[in-house]
Amino acid sequence: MYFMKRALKYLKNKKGKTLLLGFIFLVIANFVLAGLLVQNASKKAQEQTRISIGADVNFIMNWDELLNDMNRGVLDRDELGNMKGEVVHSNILSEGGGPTYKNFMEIVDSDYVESYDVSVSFEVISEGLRQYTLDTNSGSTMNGNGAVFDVKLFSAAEPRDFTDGTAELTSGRFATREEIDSGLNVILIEENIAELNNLRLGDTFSVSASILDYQNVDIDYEIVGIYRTFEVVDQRMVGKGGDSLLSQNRFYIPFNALQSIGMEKSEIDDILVTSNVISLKDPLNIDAFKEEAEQKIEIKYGRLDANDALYNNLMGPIESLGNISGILVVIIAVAGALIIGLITALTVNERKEEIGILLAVGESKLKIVSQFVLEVTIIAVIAFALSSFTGSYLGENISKAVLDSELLETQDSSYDGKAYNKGSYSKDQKNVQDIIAKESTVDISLNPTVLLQLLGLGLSLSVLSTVIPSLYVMRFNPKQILTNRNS
Amino acid sequence: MSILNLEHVSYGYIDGNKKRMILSDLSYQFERGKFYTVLGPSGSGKTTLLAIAGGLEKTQEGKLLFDGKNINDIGLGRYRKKYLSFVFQQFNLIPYLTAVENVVNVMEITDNKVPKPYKETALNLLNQFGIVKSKAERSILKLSGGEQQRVAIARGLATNVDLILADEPSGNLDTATEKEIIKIFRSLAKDYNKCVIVVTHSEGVSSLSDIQLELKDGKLIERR
Repeated sequence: MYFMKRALKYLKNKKGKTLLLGFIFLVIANFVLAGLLVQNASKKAQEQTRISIGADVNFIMNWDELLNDMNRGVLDRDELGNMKGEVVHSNILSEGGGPTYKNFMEIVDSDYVESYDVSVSFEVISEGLRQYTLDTNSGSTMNGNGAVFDVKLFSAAEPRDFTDGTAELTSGRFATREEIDSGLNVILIEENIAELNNLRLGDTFSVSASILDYQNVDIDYEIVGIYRTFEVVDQRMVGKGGDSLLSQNRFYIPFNALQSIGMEKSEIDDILVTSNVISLKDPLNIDAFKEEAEQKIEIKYGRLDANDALYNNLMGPIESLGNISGILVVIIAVAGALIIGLITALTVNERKEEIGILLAVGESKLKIVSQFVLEVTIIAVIAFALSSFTGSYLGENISKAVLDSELLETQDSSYDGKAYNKGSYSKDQKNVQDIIAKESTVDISLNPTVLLQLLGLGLSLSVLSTVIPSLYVMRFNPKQILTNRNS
Repeated sequence: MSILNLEHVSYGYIDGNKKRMILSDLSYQFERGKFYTVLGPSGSGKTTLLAIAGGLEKTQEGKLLFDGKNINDIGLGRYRKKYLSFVFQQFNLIPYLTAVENVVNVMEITDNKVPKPYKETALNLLNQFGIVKSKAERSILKLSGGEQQRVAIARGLATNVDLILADEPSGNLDTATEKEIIKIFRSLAKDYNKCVIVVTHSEGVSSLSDIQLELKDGKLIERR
């Protein structure tokens, strides 16, 4: 192990060379570290954005594909089936991977999925019930045909409106899984309707639905839950569309209750469920979930949208930055290896005599190369350790400056509206600002991964840049080295 | 029994279209306890002979036996590490180590048993050659030529080997120091039963050896 001591002695006695090599290593390490930090920051920003945007995916119509096929004559408009009315169903769309109930249920059968919900709305009429109105706060019954109510079908145990805080169950319960799956006639009504009509849990009432070929079907529902709504509806919309648009006049019934209205199972399967949400367990699994879904069904007339437009708009410049910084790291590493390799080659060449002496006294070639590698490695480790202070300061500032400028550009371009008009994206500017705020607080300080990457790179640089020139010299035998020098 | 036996050793190189032989069917037996000098004009192959004897170069023909064993079977690296030491004209000490560290270095490398602690042993050895502790702990670059050569000789003896090969060891020294160094070599042969082979140009040095050899036409000839 004396080769280690020789290495230390060399470093101590050749201070000039040691400092020069150390300085070069430090410069390289700072650039590499800065590059790694920027790359790391952009990765984190991507993850943070994905998390901020959320783990919700919508299974929406791909109108472009549908219209394209229609224009090309591949798809006949008449073949699409019943595209009119409140409840739309189409076998063609179902087979073409559109967002139908059957396809939706197939997609959500995944380990990535935390919860899901679909909602389909249609109107029902009740002759016996009083409707909630804004004017008098007292119920009214529409003309002689009865009061119109909005029905929202749901498939999740707890409908989405309740999980996102739009509504709150005040008494009773939600439908059980069994009731949802078997489509039992259970219903959730709003507390104002309950009060106006003196309805209590366990009561039943009858409504008339006409979603199937305009035939009226009377159905009795049992109240299992009473809720309070927090949804505020624009009065102008109510003025145009009527009081049934008020969220108080909404009934929640299980999706499969459509069977009791007279729909066949196959017809229910083909119902378009464009208002849906799939909540994943982890937002970072969105791409994997999409891939899995596309393996299950060929999603032609549908599209899984995870606010991709917003994500791409926010992340495009940052992704580019990450890629550029990655390329820079490689270029710096290669250039660094070449510079250090050159210096080491010159140093090793100068030390031919020493190599000859050591070989002449019986030292093994391996130990001689190990000594040289150790010398450079010690310098590299010290330089790279120092760079964890200087480089992290530099990298953090560069990352912050670059991320801030990228975010500002992103923020500006996000507000031009292009990002929000596609698909079913519905987030408002506040949400975008929230996302950007979270993104700009991304932790871009040094972490063990970056340090390990840096250490690995430093060691690789020192080993590569030393071993190659050393091996070149080692090709000579000691006599050649010593006689060339002595002659 | 001889310590080093050269049997029909030949060595040459291609010069233009023909092969020029440096050593030609050379056979000779070197013995312990004797101080040999090898004389010969420049280019006669003295250094090549020493390199072959010291395992720095392989023979092209013939063989080299150390205590009856073929050095190719021992392995050249191991042979250099365990059985011999070199003393060079240029001293060939490692410049960034002190005198004592140069000596300890070979103690650490060799497989031979050397009394520990190495530093103390090295200091004692250096002291025997007139290098006191204060000098021994200096960088070798701060020692005179004579002192450096004494350090090189001490390094040669530090590994307890029986064969010492020296290439013009006094070539860079003044007459007084040269005499002192030759005295040491004689002492090594007589008092320590070593085999010392010195390549030299100097008739004066040669006259002090037990056996004077001349390398002529690729062969070793005893002058007396």
